Amino acid sequence: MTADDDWTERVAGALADVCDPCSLAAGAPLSLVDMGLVRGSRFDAATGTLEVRLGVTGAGCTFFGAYSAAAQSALSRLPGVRRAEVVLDTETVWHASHLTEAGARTLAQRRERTVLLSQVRPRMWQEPA
Amino acid sequence: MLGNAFVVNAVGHAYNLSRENARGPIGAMVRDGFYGIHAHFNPPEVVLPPEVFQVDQSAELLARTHFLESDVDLVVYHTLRLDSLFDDGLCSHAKAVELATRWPQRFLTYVGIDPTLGTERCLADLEQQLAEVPDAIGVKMYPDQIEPYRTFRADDPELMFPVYERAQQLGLRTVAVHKALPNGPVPLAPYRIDDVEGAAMAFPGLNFEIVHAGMAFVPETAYAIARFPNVYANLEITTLLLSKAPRLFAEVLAELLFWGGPQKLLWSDGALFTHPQLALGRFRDFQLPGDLLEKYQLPPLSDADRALVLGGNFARMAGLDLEALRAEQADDEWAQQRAERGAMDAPWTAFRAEHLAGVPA
Repeated sequence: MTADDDWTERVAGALADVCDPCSLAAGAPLSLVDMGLVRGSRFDAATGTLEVRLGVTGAGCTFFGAYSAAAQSALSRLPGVRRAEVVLDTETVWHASHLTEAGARTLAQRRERTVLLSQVRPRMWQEPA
Repeated sequence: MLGNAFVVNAVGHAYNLSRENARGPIGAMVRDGFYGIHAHFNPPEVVLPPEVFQVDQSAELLARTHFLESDVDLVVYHTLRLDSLFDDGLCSHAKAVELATRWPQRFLTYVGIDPTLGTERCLADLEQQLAEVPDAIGVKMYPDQIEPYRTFRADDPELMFPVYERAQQLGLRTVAVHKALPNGPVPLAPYRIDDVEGAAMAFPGLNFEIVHAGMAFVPETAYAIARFPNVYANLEITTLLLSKAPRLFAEVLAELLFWGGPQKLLWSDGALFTHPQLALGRFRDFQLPGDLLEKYQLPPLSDADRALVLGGNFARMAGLDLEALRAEQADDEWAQQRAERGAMDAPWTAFRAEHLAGVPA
Protein backbone atom coordinates (compact mmCIF):
# COMPACT_ATOMS: atom_id res chain seq x y z
CA MET A 1 0.00 0.00 0.00
CA THR A 2 1.33 3.38 -0.95
CA ALA A 3 1.19 6.40 1.29
CA ASP A 4 -1.60 7.79 -0.92
CA ASP A 5 -3.64 4.59 -0.60
CA ASP A 6 -3.22 4.78 3.14
CA TRP A 7 -4.67 8.28 3.25
CA THR A 8 -7.49 7.37 0.86
CA GLU A 9 -8.52 4.63 3.25
CA ARG A 10 -8.18 6.86 6.30
CA VAL A 11 -10.25 9.60 4.66
CA ALA A 12 -12.92 7.06 3.73
CA GLY A 13 -12.97 5.82 7.30
CA ALA A 14 -13.33 9.32 8.70
CA LEU A 15 -16.14 10.18 6.30
CA ALA A 16 -18.03 6.90 6.73
CA ASP A 17 -20.34 8.59 9.22
CA VAL A 18 -20.78 11.88 7.39
CA CYS A 19 -24.04 11.52 5.52
CA ASP A 20 -25.28 13.24 2.43
CA PRO A 21 -28.28 15.31 3.53
CA CYS A 22 -30.47 14.41 0.55
CA SER A 23 -30.06 10.70 1.10
CA LEU A 24 -31.10 11.25 4.71
CA ALA A 25 -34.23 13.01 3.53
CA ALA A 26 -34.91 10.15 1.12
CA GLY A 27 -34.79 7.62 3.95
CA ALA A 28 -31.71 5.96 2.51
CA PRO A 29 -28.79 7.39 4.49
CA LEU A 30 -25.60 7.25 2.49
CA SER A 31 -22.19 8.48 3.52
CA LEU A 32 -20.29 10.92 1.33
CA VAL A 33 -18.11 7.96 0.38
CA ASP A 34 -21.05 5.80 -0.71
CA MET A 35 -22.51 8.76 -2.57
CA GLY A 36 -19.32 9.00 -4.63
CA LEU A 37 -18.71 12.56 -3.48
CA VAL A 38 -15.15 12.08 -2.21
CA ARG A 39 -13.08 13.05 -5.23
CA GLY A 40 -9.56 12.88 -3.91
CA SER A 41 -7.20 13.72 -1.08
CA ARG A 42 -3.68 14.99 -0.58
CA PHE A 43 -1.61 15.01 2.60
CA ASP A 44 1.33 17.34 3.13
CA ALA A 45 3.49 15.61 5.70
CA ALA A 46 5.62 18.72 6.20
CA THR A 47 2.71 20.81 7.43
CA GLY A 48 0.32 18.09 8.54
CA THR A 49 -2.32 19.49 6.16
CA LEU A 50 -4.89 17.15 4.70
CA GLU A 51 -6.81 18.48 1.71
CA VAL A 52 -9.89 16.57 0.58
CA ARG A 53 -11.93 17.36 -2.53
CA LEU A 54 -15.67 16.84 -2.21
CA GLY A 55 -18.28 17.07 -4.93
CA VAL A 56 -21.95 17.95 -5.09
CA THR A 57 -24.67 15.96 -6.81
CA GLY A 58 -25.95 18.99 -8.66
CA ALA A 59 -24.72 22.47 -9.50
CA GLY A 60 -27.56 24.03 -7.56
CA CYS A 61 -26.82 22.13 -4.37
CA THR A 62 -26.78 24.46 -1.40
CA PHE A 63 -25.84 21.83 1.18
CA PHE A 64 -22.15 21.72 0.43
CA GLY A 65 -21.45 24.15 3.23
CA ALA A 66 -23.20 21.92 5.73
CA TYR A 67 -21.64 18.59 4.86
CA SER A 68 -18.21 20.01 4.07
CA ALA A 69 -18.13 21.46 7.58
CA ALA A 70 -19.07 18.08 9.01
CA ALA A 71 -16.42 16.45 6.84
CA GLN A 72 -13.75 18.89 7.94
CA SER A 73 -14.57 18.23 11.56
CA ALA A 74 -14.30 14.47 11.05
CA LEU A 75 -11.07 14.76 9.06
CA SER A 76 -9.49 17.03 11.68
CA ARG A 77 -9.68 14.20 14.20
CA LEU A 78 -7.50 11.88 12.12
CA PRO A 79 -4.17 11.13 13.79
CA GLY A 80 -1.36 13.13 12.19
CA VAL A 81 -3.66 15.80 10.76
CA ARG A 82 -2.82 19.26 12.03
CA ARG A 83 -5.14 20.99 9.61
CA ALA A 84 -7.95 19.64 7.42
CA GLU A 85 -9.18 21.52 4.39
CA VAL A 86 -12.21 20.65 2.27
CA VAL A 87 -12.42 22.06 -1.22
CA LEU A 88 -15.26 21.89 -3.71
CA ASP A 89 -14.67 19.81 -6.80
CA THR A 90 -16.24 21.74 -9.68
CA GLU A 91 -14.99 19.51 -12.46
CA THR A 92 -17.02 16.33 -12.09
CA VAL A 93 -20.70 16.15 -13.02
CA TRP A 94 -22.13 13.69 -10.50
CA HIS A 95 -23.96 10.70 -11.79
CA ALA A 96 -25.66 7.77 -10.11
CA SER A 97 -22.88 5.54 -11.43
CA HIS A 98 -20.60 7.26 -8.90
CA LEU A 99 -22.38 5.53 -6.04
CA THR A 100 -20.45 2.69 -4.47
CA GLU A 101 -21.93 -0.79 -4.80
CA ALA A 102 -23.16 -0.62 -1.23
CA GLY A 103 -24.65 2.83 -1.79
CA ALA A 104 -26.44 1.76 -4.95
CA ARG A 105 -27.81 -1.27 -3.14
CA THR A 106 -29.14 0.81 -0.25
CA LEU A 107 -30.85 3.21 -2.63
CA ALA A 108 -32.31 0.44 -4.79
CA GLN A 109 -33.74 -1.32 -1.75
CA ARG A 110 -35.34 1.90 -0.57
CA ARG A 111 -36.95 2.42 -3.96
CA GLU A 112 -38.14 -1.16 -4.19
CA ARG A 113 -39.81 -0.73 -0.83
CA THR A 114 -41.57 2.41 -2.07
CA VAL A 115 -42.92 0.60 -5.14
CA LEU A 116 -44.12 -2.33 -3.00
CA LEU A 117 -45.78 -0.11 -0.41
CA SER A 118 -47.49 2.21 -2.87
CA GLN A 119 -48.30 -0.60 -5.33
CA VAL A 120 -47.44 1.68 -8.23
CA ARG A 121 -47.55 0.32 -11.76
CA PRO A 122 -46.35 2.05 -14.95
CA ARG A 123 -49.04 4.36 -16.34
CA MET A 124 -51.60 3.12 -13.84
CA TRP A 125 -53.33 6.51 -14.14
CA GLN A 126 -54.68 5.22 -17.44
CA GLU A 127 -56.29 2.15 -15.86
CA PRO A 128 -60.06 2.21 -15.47
CA ALA A 129 -61.11 3.38 -12.05
CA MET B 1 -44.14 26.33 -33.49
CA LEU B 2 -41.49 23.67 -33.63
CA GLY B 3 -42.34 21.66 -36.69
CA ASN B 4 -46.04 21.02 -36.25
CA ALA B 5 -45.90 21.32 -32.48
CA PHE B 6 -47.45 24.28 -30.68
CA VAL B 7 -44.90 25.21 -28.05
CA VAL B 8 -45.87 26.27 -24.55
CA ASN B 9 -43.14 27.30 -22.14
CA ALA B 10 -44.92 26.17 -19.00
CA VAL B 11 -42.83 28.48 -16.83
CA GLY B 12 -41.45 31.81 -18.06
CA HIS B 13 -39.80 34.21 -15.64
CA ALA B 14 -39.09 37.91 -15.77
CA TYR B 15 -36.99 37.97 -12.61
CA ASN B 16 -36.26 41.01 -10.53
CA LEU B 17 -32.66 40.16 -9.69
CA SER B 18 -31.63 43.71 -8.88
CA ARG B 19 -29.45 44.00 -5.78
CA GLU B 20 -31.96 46.18 -3.98
CA ASN B 21 -34.70 43.57 -4.39
CA ALA B 22 -32.80 40.88 -2.44
CA ARG B 23 -33.63 40.74 1.27
CA GLY B 24 -30.80 40.22 3.72
CA PRO B 25 -27.75 37.99 3.37
CA ILE B 26 -29.77 34.90 2.42
CA GLY B 27 -31.63 36.81 -0.28
CA ALA B 28 -28.29 38.03 -1.58
CA MET B 29 -26.96 34.45 -1.51
CA VAL B 30 -29.96 33.15 -3.45
CA ARG B 31 -29.66 36.06 -5.91
CA ASP B 32 -26.04 35.13 -6.57
CA GLY B 33 -26.99 31.45 -6.62
CA PHE B 34 -29.38 32.17 -9.47
CA TYR B 35 -26.53 33.71 -11.42
CA GLY B 36 -24.31 30.78 -10.57
CA ILE B 37 -26.78 28.33 -12.01
CA HIS B 38 -27.32 30.57 -15.07
CA ALA B 39 -23.57 30.63 -15.63
CA HIS B 40 -22.92 26.95 -15.01
CA PHE B 41 -25.99 25.27 -16.46
CA ASN B 42 -25.90 27.16 -19.75
CA PRO B 43 -23.24 26.78 -22.47
CA PRO B 44 -20.87 29.77 -22.74
CA GLU B 45 -22.61 31.24 -25.77
CA VAL B 46 -25.80 31.71 -23.73
CA VAL B 47 -24.22 33.03 -20.52
CA LEU B 48 -24.76 36.71 -19.83
CA PRO B 49 -22.45 38.80 -17.63
CA PRO B 50 -23.81 39.23 -14.10
CA GLU B 51 -24.32 42.95 -14.53
CA VAL B 52 -26.62 42.18 -17.48
CA PHE B 53 -28.43 39.15 -16.00
CA GLN B 54 -28.90 40.33 -12.42
CA VAL B 55 -31.33 43.16 -13.23
CA ASP B 56 -35.04 43.76 -13.05
CA GLN B 57 -36.04 41.87 -16.17
CA SER B 58 -39.03 43.53 -17.80
CA ALA B 59 -42.25 41.98 -19.01
CA GLU B 60 -41.49 43.27 -22.49
CA LEU B 61 -38.08 41.62 -22.38
CA LEU B 62 -39.77 38.31 -21.57
CA ALA B 63 -42.08 38.76 -24.54
CA ARG B 64 -39.44 39.91 -27.02
CA THR B 65 -37.05 37.14 -26.09
CA HIS B 66 -39.66 34.44 -26.50
CA PHE B 67 -41.56 35.63 -29.54
CA LEU B 68 -38.80 37.19 -31.62
CA GLU B 69 -35.94 34.86 -30.65
CA SER B 70 -37.51 31.45 -30.25
CA ASP B 71 -40.14 29.01 -31.48
CA VAL B 72 -42.19 29.35 -28.30
CA ASP B 73 -45.82 30.28 -29.01
CA LEU B 74 -47.21 30.74 -25.53
CA VAL B 75 -45.61 31.47 -22.17
CA VAL B 76 -46.98 30.73 -18.72
CA TYR B 77 -45.88 33.41 -16.24
CA HIS B 78 -45.93 32.50 -12.56
CA THR B 79 -46.24 35.20 -9.95
CA LEU B 80 -43.66 34.17 -7.40
CA ARG B 81 -44.03 34.65 -3.65
CA LEU B 82 -40.47 34.28 -2.44
CA ASP B 83 -41.39 37.13 -0.13
CA SER B 84 -38.79 36.31 2.51
CA LEU B 85 -35.99 36.47 -0.05
CA PHE B 86 -37.07 39.23 -2.41
CA ASP B 87 -39.11 42.37 -1.78
CA ASP B 88 -41.41 41.80 -4.76
CA GLY B 89 -41.38 38.01 -4.45
CA LEU B 90 -38.96 37.75 -7.41
CA CYS B 91 -41.51 37.64 -10.24
CA SER B 92 -44.11 40.23 -9.39
CA HIS B 93 -47.87 40.24 -9.75
CA ALA B 94 -47.52 43.62 -11.49
CA LYS B 95 -45.69 41.94 -14.36
CA ALA B 96 -48.44 39.31 -14.55
CA VAL B 97 -50.97 42.11 -14.94
CA GLU B 98 -48.90 43.75 -17.67
CA LEU B 99 -48.39 40.51 -19.58
CA ALA B 100 -52.03 39.43 -19.33
CA THR B 101 -53.21 42.88 -20.35
CA ARG B 102 -50.86 43.62 -23.21
CA TRP B 103 -50.58 40.16 -24.75
CA PRO B 104 -53.40 37.86 -23.57
CA GLN B 105 -52.95 35.74 -26.69
CA ARG B 106 -49.32 35.04 -25.73
CA PHE B 107 -49.25 34.80 -21.94
CA LEU B 108 -51.14 32.79 -19.38
CA THR B 109 -50.64 33.62 -15.73
CA TYR B 110 -50.65 31.84 -12.41
CA VAL B 111 -51.41 33.77 -9.25
CA GLY B 112 -48.90 33.43 -6.45
CA ILE B 113 -49.69 32.54 -2.86
CA ASP B 114 -47.62 31.93 0.26
CA PRO B 115 -49.32 29.30 2.43
CA THR B 116 -47.01 30.08 5.32
CA LEU B 117 -49.12 33.21 5.77
CA GLY B 118 -52.20 31.13 6.54
CA THR B 119 -55.42 30.12 4.82
CA GLU B 120 -57.21 33.44 5.11
CA ARG B 121 -54.32 35.33 3.56
CA CYS B 122 -54.10 32.82 0.69
CA LEU B 123 -57.83 33.16 0.02
CA ALA B 124 -57.52 36.94 0.05
CA ASP B 125 -54.50 36.84 -2.26
CA LEU B 126 -56.37 34.61 -4.71
CA GLU B 127 -59.25 37.05 -4.89
CA GLN B 128 -57.08 40.16 -5.04
CA GLN B 129 -54.81 38.91 -7.80
CA LEU B 130 -57.64 37.43 -9.84
CA ALA B 131 -59.39 40.79 -9.73
CA GLU B 132 -56.52 42.09 -11.86
CA VAL B 133 -55.74 38.94 -13.87
CA PRO B 134 -59.20 37.40 -14.21
CA ASP B 135 -58.06 34.94 -16.87
CA ALA B 136 -55.32 33.41 -14.72
CA ILE B 137 -55.48 29.63 -14.88
CA GLY B 138 -53.26 28.45 -12.06
CA VAL B 139 -51.69 28.96 -8.67
CA LYS B 140 -47.99 28.85 -7.81
CA MET B 141 -46.54 28.04 -4.39
CA TYR B 142 -43.13 27.64 -2.77
CA PRO B 143 -42.60 25.07 -0.03
CA ASP B 144 -40.93 27.30 2.54
CA GLN B 145 -39.91 30.77 3.65
CA ILE B 146 -37.12 31.95 5.94
CA GLU B 147 -36.57 34.32 8.81
CA PRO B 148 -38.23 32.73 10.59
CA TYR B 149 -37.96 29.43 8.78
CA ARG B 150 -41.47 28.09 8.10
CA THR B 151 -42.96 25.47 5.85
CA PHE B 152 -46.21 23.62 5.21
CA ARG B 153 -47.57 20.54 3.50
CA ALA B 154 -49.56 20.82 0.30
CA ASP B 155 -51.90 18.13 1.63
CA ASP B 156 -52.60 19.88 4.93
CA PRO B 157 -56.41 19.63 5.08
CA GLU B 158 -56.91 22.59 7.41
CA LEU B 159 -54.46 24.94 5.73
CA MET B 160 -54.68 24.04 2.05
CA PHE B 161 -57.96 22.31 1.27
CA PRO B 162 -60.02 25.51 1.60
CA VAL B 163 -57.56 27.17 -0.78
CA TYR B 164 -57.91 24.41 -3.37
CA GLU B 165 -61.69 24.46 -3.05
CA ARG B 166 -61.77 28.20 -3.63
CA ALA B 167 -59.29 27.93 -6.50
CA GLN B 168 -61.58 25.44 -8.20
CA GLN B 169 -64.60 27.65 -7.60
CA LEU B 170 -62.73 30.55 -9.17
CA GLY B 171 -62.03 28.50 -12.28
CA LEU B 172 -58.34 27.85 -11.72
CA ARG B 173 -57.19 24.64 -13.36
CA THR B 174 -53.84 23.82 -11.82
CA VAL B 175 -51.62 24.16 -8.77
CA ALA B 176 -47.88 24.33 -9.43
CA VAL B 177 -45.55 23.60 -6.54
CA HIS B 178 -41.83 24.34 -6.63
CA LYS B 179 -40.06 21.15 -5.60
CA ALA B 180 -36.64 19.47 -5.80
CA LEU B 181 -34.40 22.57 -5.82
CA PRO B 182 -33.87 24.08 -2.37
CA ASN B 183 -33.90 27.87 -2.18
CA GLY B 184 -30.82 28.48 -0.13
CA PRO B 185 -29.53 26.66 2.96
CA VAL B 186 -32.88 25.23 4.07
CA PRO B 187 -34.08 21.74 5.00
CA LEU B 188 -34.77 19.56 2.00
CA ALA B 189 -37.83 17.69 3.27
CA PRO B 190 -40.45 20.24 2.05
CA TYR B 191 -38.99 19.88 -1.46
CA ARG B 192 -39.98 16.21 -1.56
CA ILE B 193 -43.14 15.44 -3.47
CA ASP B 194 -45.24 13.20 -1.28
CA ASP B 195 -47.49 16.04 -0.09
CA VAL B 196 -48.49 16.75 -3.70
CA GLU B 197 -49.87 13.22 -3.89
CA GLY B 198 -52.13 13.79 -0.91
CA ALA B 199 -53.50 17.00 -2.43
CA ALA B 200 -54.02 15.35 -5.82
CA MET B 201 -55.94 12.49 -4.23
CA ALA B 202 -58.24 14.89 -2.39
CA PHE B 203 -58.84 17.13 -5.41
CA PRO B 204 -59.15 14.95 -8.51
CA GLY B 205 -60.70 17.87 -10.40
CA LEU B 206 -57.63 20.04 -9.95
CA ASN B 207 -54.26 19.45 -11.61
CA PHE B 208 -50.98 19.51 -9.74
CA GLU B 209 -47.63 20.26 -11.28
CA ILE B 210 -44.40 19.09 -9.70
CA VAL B 211 -42.15 21.93 -10.82
CA HIS B 212 -38.47 21.13 -11.49
CA ALA B 213 -39.49 17.49 -11.88
CA GLY B 214 -36.43 15.40 -12.56
CA MET B 215 -33.91 17.54 -10.70
CA ALA B 216 -34.29 15.42 -7.55
CA PHE B 217 -36.54 12.68 -6.20
CA VAL B 218 -36.94 11.30 -9.69
CA PRO B 219 -38.40 7.90 -8.75
CA GLU B 220 -40.88 9.49 -6.36
CA THR B 221 -41.94 11.95 -9.06
CA ALA B 222 -42.21 9.13 -11.58
CA TYR B 223 -44.43 7.12 -9.22
CA ALA B 224 -46.65 10.16 -8.66
CA ILE B 225 -47.26 10.80 -12.35
CA ALA B 226 -47.82 7.06 -12.79
CA ARG B 227 -50.48 6.87 -10.10
CA PHE B 228 -52.48 10.05 -10.41
CA PRO B 229 -54.21 11.27 -13.57
CA ASN B 230 -54.00 14.85 -12.32
CA VAL B 231 -50.30 15.06 -11.47
CA TYR B 232 -47.84 16.34 -14.06
CA ALA B 233 -44.06 16.67 -14.23
CA ASN B 234 -43.15 20.26 -15.08
CA LEU B 235 -39.65 20.10 -16.54
CA GLU B 236 -38.54 23.65 -15.70
CA ILE B 237 -34.73 23.70 -15.32
CA THR B 238 -34.53 19.96 -15.95
CA THR B 239 -34.53 20.73 -19.67
CA LEU B 240 -31.26 22.63 -19.17
CA LEU B 241 -29.67 19.22 -18.67
CA LEU B 242 -30.04 18.80 -22.43
CA SER B 243 -26.99 21.09 -22.65
CA LYS B 244 -25.29 20.49 -19.32
CA ALA B 245 -25.59 16.73 -19.02
CA PRO B 246 -27.52 15.20 -21.91
CA ARG B 247 -27.07 11.64 -20.70
CA LEU B 248 -28.56 12.59 -17.34
CA PHE B 249 -31.49 14.25 -19.12
CA ALA B 250 -32.03 11.08 -21.12
CA GLU B 251 -32.03 8.95 -17.97
CA VAL B 252 -34.47 11.23 -16.18
CA LEU B 253 -36.76 11.46 -19.19
CA ALA B 254 -36.72 7.71 -19.73
CA GLU B 255 -37.72 7.03 -16.13
CA LEU B 256 -40.53 9.59 -16.27
CA LEU B 257 -41.72 8.25 -19.62
CA PHE B 258 -41.71 4.67 -18.36
CA TRP B 259 -43.77 5.40 -15.28
CA GLY B 260 -46.02 8.24 -16.47
CA GLY B 261 -45.96 8.25 -20.22
CA PRO B 262 -45.41 11.20 -22.57
CA GLN B 263 -48.84 12.54 -21.62
CA LYS B 264 -47.64 13.58 -18.17
CA LEU B 265 -44.71 15.85 -19.03
CA LEU B 266 -44.85 19.65 -19.41
CA TRP B 267 -42.13 21.43 -21.37
CA SER B 268 -40.50 24.32 -19.58
CA ASP B 269 -37.08 25.88 -19.18
CA GLY B 270 -37.65 28.83 -16.85
CA ALA B 271 -36.46 31.41 -19.39
CA LEU B 272 -35.21 34.07 -18.88
CA PHE B 273 -33.07 31.87 -16.63
CA THR B 274 -31.83 30.48 -19.91
CA HIS B 275 -32.55 31.34 -23.51
CA PRO B 276 -35.83 29.73 -24.62
CA GLN B 277 -34.50 28.51 -27.96
CA LEU B 278 -31.54 26.67 -26.44
CA ALA B 279 -33.23 23.65 -24.92
CA LEU B 280 -35.94 23.69 -27.61
CA GLY B 281 -33.37 23.26 -30.32
CA ARG B 282 -31.70 20.43 -28.45
CA PHE B 283 -35.01 18.68 -27.73
CA ARG B 284 -35.96 18.89 -31.40
CA ASP B 285 -32.86 16.79 -32.18
CA PHE B 286 -32.96 14.65 -29.03
CA GLN B 287 -33.55 10.92 -29.05
CA LEU B 288 -33.32 8.43 -26.23
CA PRO B 289 -30.22 6.26 -26.48
CA GLY B 290 -30.68 2.61 -27.30
CA ASP B 291 -29.63 1.27 -23.93
CA LEU B 292 -32.35 3.28 -22.19
CA LEU B 293 -34.95 2.23 -24.75
CA GLU B 294 -33.93 -1.33 -23.98
CA LYS B 295 -33.82 -0.85 -20.21
CA TYR B 296 -37.29 0.68 -20.02
CA GLN B 297 -38.76 -1.11 -23.06
CA LEU B 298 -39.71 2.23 -24.57
CA PRO B 299 -40.28 3.04 -28.22
CA PRO B 300 -38.15 5.85 -29.66
CA LEU B 301 -39.46 9.31 -28.90
CA SER B 302 -41.83 10.18 -31.75
CA ASP B 303 -42.81 13.57 -33.14
CA ALA B 304 -46.23 12.97 -31.64
CA ASP B 305 -44.62 12.43 -28.22
CA ARG B 306 -42.60 15.60 -28.66
CA ALA B 307 -45.71 17.56 -29.58
CA LEU B 308 -47.45 16.34 -26.44
CA VAL B 309 -44.54 17.34 -24.22
CA LEU B 310 -43.97 20.67 -25.96
CA GLY B 311 -47.52 21.91 -25.63
CA GLY B 312 -50.23 19.33 -26.18
CA ASN B 313 -50.22 18.17 -22.56
CA PHE B 314 -50.34 21.69 -21.17
CA ALA B 315 -53.17 22.62 -23.53
CA ARG B 316 -55.17 19.58 -22.48
CA MET B 317 -54.47 20.15 -18.78
CA ALA B 318 -55.41 23.82 -18.98
CA GLY B 319 -58.38 23.37 -21.29
CA LEU B 320 -56.90 25.54 -24.06
CA ASP B 321 -58.40 25.82 -27.52
CA LEU B 322 -55.22 25.71 -29.56
CA GLU B 323 -56.96 26.43 -32.85
CA ALA B 324 -58.46 29.60 -31.44
CA LEU B 325 -55.11 30.59 -29.92
CA ARG B 326 -53.29 30.03 -33.18
CA ALA B 327 -55.84 32.20 -34.94
CA GLU B 328 -55.37 35.00 -32.39
CA GLN B 329 -51.61 34.81 -32.72
CA ALA B 330 -51.48 34.51 -36.49
CA ASP B 331 -51.49 38.24 -37.13
CA ASP B 332 -50.54 39.74 -33.79
CA GLU B 333 -47.68 42.18 -33.32
CA TRP B 334 -45.19 39.38 -32.73
CA ALA B 335 -46.20 37.48 -35.84
CA GLN B 336 -45.95 40.71 -37.83
CA GLN B 337 -42.51 41.51 -36.46
CA ARG B 338 -41.32 37.98 -37.20
CA ALA B 339 -42.65 38.27 -40.75
CA GLU B 340 -40.86 41.62 -41.23
CA ARG B 341 -37.60 40.18 -39.95
CA GLY B 342 -37.92 37.00 -41.99
CA ALA B 343 -36.03 35.05 -39.34
CA MET B 344 -35.54 34.74 -35.60
CA ASP B 345 -33.43 37.37 -33.91
CA ALA B 346 -30.16 36.11 -32.48
CA PRO B 347 -30.29 34.89 -28.85
CA TRP B 348 -30.41 37.67 -26.31
CA THR B 349 -30.85 40.42 -28.89
CA ALA B 350 -33.54 41.99 -26.74
CA PHE B 351 -31.62 41.48 -23.48
CA ARG B 352 -28.50 43.11 -24.86
CA ALA B 353 -30.49 45.96 -26.38
CA GLU B 354 -32.15 46.63 -23.03
CA HIS B 355 -29.13 46.22 -20.76
CA LEU B 356 -26.00 46.45 -22.82
CA ALA B 357 -26.68 49.51 -24.97
CA GLY B 358 -23.68 50.37 -27.11
CA VAL B 359 -21.82 47.13 -26.35
CA PRO B 360 -21.56 44.77 -29.34
CA ALA B 361 -22.92 41.26 -28.85
